[in-house]
Amino acid sequence: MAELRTEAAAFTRDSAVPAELEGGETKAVSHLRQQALAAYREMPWPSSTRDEDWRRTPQVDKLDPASYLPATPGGWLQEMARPGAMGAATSVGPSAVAPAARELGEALRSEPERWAPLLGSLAAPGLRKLVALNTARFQEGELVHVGRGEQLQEPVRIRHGVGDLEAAFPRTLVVLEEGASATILEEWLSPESARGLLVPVTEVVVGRGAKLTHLVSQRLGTDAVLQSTLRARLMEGASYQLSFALLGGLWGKSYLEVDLAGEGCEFRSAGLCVGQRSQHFDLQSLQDHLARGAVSDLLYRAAVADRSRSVFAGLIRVEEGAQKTNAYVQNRNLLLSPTAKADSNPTLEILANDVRCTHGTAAGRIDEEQLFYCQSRGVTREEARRLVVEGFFADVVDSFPEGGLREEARGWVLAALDQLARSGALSAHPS
Amino acid sequence: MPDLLEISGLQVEVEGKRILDGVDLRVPTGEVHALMGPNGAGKTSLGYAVMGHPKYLVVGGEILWKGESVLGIPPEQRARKGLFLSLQYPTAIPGVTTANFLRSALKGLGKELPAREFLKEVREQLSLLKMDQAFLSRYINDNFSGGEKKRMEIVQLAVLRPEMAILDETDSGLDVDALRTVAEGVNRVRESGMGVLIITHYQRILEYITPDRVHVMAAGRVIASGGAEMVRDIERTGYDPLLRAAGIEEVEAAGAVSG
Ligand SMILES: Nc1ncnc2c1ncn2[C@@H]1O[C@H](COP(=O)(O)OP(=O)(O)OP(=O)(O)O)[C@@H](O)[C@H]1O
Ligand SMILES: [Mg+2]
Repeated sequence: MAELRTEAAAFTRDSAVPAELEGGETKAVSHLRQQALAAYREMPWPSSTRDEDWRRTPQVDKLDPASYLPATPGGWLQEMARPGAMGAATSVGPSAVAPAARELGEALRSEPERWAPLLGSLAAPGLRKLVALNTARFQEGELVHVGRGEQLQEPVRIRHGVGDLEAAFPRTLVVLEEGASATILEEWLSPESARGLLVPVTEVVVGRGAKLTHLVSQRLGTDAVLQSTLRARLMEGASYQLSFALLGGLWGKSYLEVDLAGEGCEFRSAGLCVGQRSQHFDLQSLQDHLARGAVSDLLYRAAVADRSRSVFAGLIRVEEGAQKTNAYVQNRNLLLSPTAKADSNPTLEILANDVRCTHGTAAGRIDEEQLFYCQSRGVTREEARRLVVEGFFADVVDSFPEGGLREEARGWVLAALDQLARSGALSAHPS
Repeated sequence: MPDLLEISGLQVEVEGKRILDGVDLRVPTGEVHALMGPNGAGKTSLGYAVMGHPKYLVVGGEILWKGESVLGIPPEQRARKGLFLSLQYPTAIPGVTTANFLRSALKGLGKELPAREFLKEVREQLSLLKMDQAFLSRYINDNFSGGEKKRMEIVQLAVLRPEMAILDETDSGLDVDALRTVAEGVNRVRESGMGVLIITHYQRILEYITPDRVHVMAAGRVIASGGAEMVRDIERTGYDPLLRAAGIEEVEAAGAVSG
């Protein structure tokens, strides 16, 4: 019976996009939507048996976006950046009061010729089925634009979420012009046990010599499904620091793709994942070196407990002509139960000859000697396990944006570990 | 009054292999005992067994702490009762700072201090052990030199203030000045009446911390006990006479017990 229903569901996926566009949007935007509608209908639904990307995430075979309700607007907070929102810091100068983030729809209506061409320039509708879906359906979204030479003092906060039985397709466009600098916190949330589908697409352009610090925090409730795409493009001398924490949800796939398009640009990323219950996290990253002398470094640490699973595929591609590239990708996994799983597949694809690239992967369990050492000093075994897991994430957390955000992020990780401890996942197993 | 620590007929196995074979040893409250013996005699294993390392399975005999058995009790509870083991090779825990580690330990022992007092105490002990304050925020034992690890064990001893410390070759790998610093550190904690079992290969540390009794282990058991003067005899003649008197072949002494 269940099988039958699944089969039937597969045939409704087309209705996830409208048959026709509603009017009221500018020409440029409706053109993009049109493309997205077509792309969505043309592309086959991802398949765990046919698509390498999805081989270890068969959940996708049963996912049907048409089976979710459209998100109620305003159901989720969409916080605009406000100077002082983070407390403490006081800043002067025009940059601090400039509206750093604005509603994307409004920006597209008031300055279509300026923003519409950027939309989809990195994550084109044809990139993937779910990007097409987001492009066809996004209503809510943000534009973060930081003008030439502007230095944003306060972090910009973007918050996306989804409610029960809903599907939401938030879209974010981040543009830092030459020499600008900013810090962005992007949060993905949903109410506890809400069965929603969140499909965020974020496009990021870091202009010449600009510096962006970006922290993505996925703290979805227990039953939400995530399909995210983050694509960034770095210009000459740009610097992009991306930190991420994947902590919630039922299952999800996240694409994280960066074009190192300008000479000497730099991408540094560190992220972590805490898996529990039967959570399933699939992360696929791409460090695409298109220009000379760029640096990229990605470190991903996942700790998986219970029957949870982490799947990681990280590709470093060095295009012809991208000489003097320095690129690293590393995935470390900590298995906290005999039934947890971690798949790791970092790969290199190098078409230039004068480069330094390395990839590494390791999976292990908590070291018994470390536990004994803690215990011999009075720490309970459970607390010792927690301490070791916390230590496992230390270098990632320490690389998060300095200041209040880092402490906030540390708090999320500790909360996830508390949850692990409460559920007994840290004490259930002898080692 | 029962002894602080009383070990009798202790038999221990690791992965089915007999490592300790009938150890008898008593350390009365407030006394300092030295434990010596050739490599592989079982000294470290004895420390582990007393502390409750899960790999060191007690298959016979008894370990009494103040007259009560600690067998079957997890290490953290033995620590809470007042036992402390300074490891021969202290374990590194990457990502866990010394401060965090010690805070967790104090909390586990029910001796939690307010943040400021805690920092003051740890800073003071670090400087007494002539260690840089930067060690506070370094990951515990991670990339520490051999001597730094040993000194950090004594910093911990001083902060955690147990009733008895088993010091497993805490003197090994220390330069002459560090050895004195460490010995002074131990003696400071001893003022509160702490019992000590010093596992060592050398006379030197025992010149700073004078033992009330000396025990020699070989082939998984204690083969001789005596006063402090035994140390000098051993230094002069080695273990041979003691081994022969106990009827132990040298080869056997350096390996695990057979059977
Ligand atoms: N975890 C273990 N697994 C296997 N064998 C072990 C283990 N621990 C100890 N042994 C064996 O038990 C015997 C005693 O070892 P132990 O470390 O207790 O000796 P020791 O007296 O401390 O020696 P040293 O003076 O060299 O430190 C040795 O033969 C050793 O190889
Ligand atoms: Mg030893």
